[in-house]
Amino acid sequence: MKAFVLAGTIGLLALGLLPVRVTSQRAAGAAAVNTTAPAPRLANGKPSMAGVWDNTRRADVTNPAIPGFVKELPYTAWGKARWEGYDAFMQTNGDYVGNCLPFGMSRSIYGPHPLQIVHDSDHLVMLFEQNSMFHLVPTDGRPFTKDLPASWFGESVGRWDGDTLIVDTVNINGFTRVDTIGHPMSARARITQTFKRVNFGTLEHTFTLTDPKAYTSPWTVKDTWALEPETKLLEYACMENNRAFYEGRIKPFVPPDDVD
Amino acid sequence: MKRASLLVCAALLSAHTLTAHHSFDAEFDRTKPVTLTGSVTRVDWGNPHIWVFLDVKDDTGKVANWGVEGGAPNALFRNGWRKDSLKVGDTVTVEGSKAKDGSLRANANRVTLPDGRRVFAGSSGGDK
Repeated sequence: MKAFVLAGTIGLLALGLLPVRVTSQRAAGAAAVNTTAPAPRLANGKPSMAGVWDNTRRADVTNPAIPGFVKELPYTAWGKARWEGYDAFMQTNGDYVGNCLPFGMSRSIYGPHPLQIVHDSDHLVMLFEQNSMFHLVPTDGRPFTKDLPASWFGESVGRWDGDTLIVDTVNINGFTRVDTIGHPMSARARITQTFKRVNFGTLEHTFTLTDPKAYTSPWTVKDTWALEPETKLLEYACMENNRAFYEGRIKPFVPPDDVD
Repeated sequence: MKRASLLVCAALLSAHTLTAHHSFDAEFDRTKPVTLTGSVTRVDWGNPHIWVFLDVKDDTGKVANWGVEGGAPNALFRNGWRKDSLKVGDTVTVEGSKAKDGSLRANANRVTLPDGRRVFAGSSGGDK
């Protein structure tokens, strides 16, 4: 089979469709899925967002080639300076992802590796293959945790607006960038995501960043994700073979001190 | 071949790229292409990228051991690569970009296998 798959890869090359999209492989015994069936429901009657989704790869949220992009980012003076001062090679503050530190919400959602959502009536859990990270979203009405130290992904709570789940995230440490190309965000950022399962095989997702230190107004990225029932998440132990870091091409991360 | 055709279709429709977890430009120089032909001496199949080492002979006959970075192992696996797709002793040709620090390191974009097939190696070069 390997030979066939490699032959398939050559076929893609011939079609000029690089970078190649990754095919998933059907798990033994996996049943066929009717993707146009109604959205599955949780015990509380709300739609379940559960599944492995083809979370859109966005290395640059302003890339017009990817539908749902942001046309223009409304920088503040701080945001503009932080964007223009970012140099991937000089690795401003060290490249935190090259250090295998957490990617944060946006770079995990928009990264090249799959996302699985596990969902019940009280919690939504995002499982990111990237670095084998997880992120928990209580949906049982609890508030944000008082005095919780800031973190890479921040803290999230979810609430329903009809059949749309709204996830708010705050208390972000400000060390992360929005995307691979390095658009800025600060510790004042608030991320609001919406999840709407249109049918069994389709989920509409929005990502809104409200960050008064980096942007003069909120902006939103919109995605439509397809279910990938044949994809199984795998372990991703980031530091096991991180030669770029071990050999010094990626410098050690130094937390920025101007993000609050 | 039916299976192969299905896989090609799935690849066209599926979503996850083989591309890297950090900026290509942090480590490699897309303006410095390199083609390396040599004998595989070691394959490190691990995250965040696989690394393949080659003994490459230059025009004077001097041999240097190059290390080339490929894609993330899970993504490569889903695209048909296996841990033993490249074996020690295989003669392969790698097309990619040199590291910015001038070391004997490169990012692999294409690999031509011993049987002549030329396959994508998971470079992030097109996905800044």
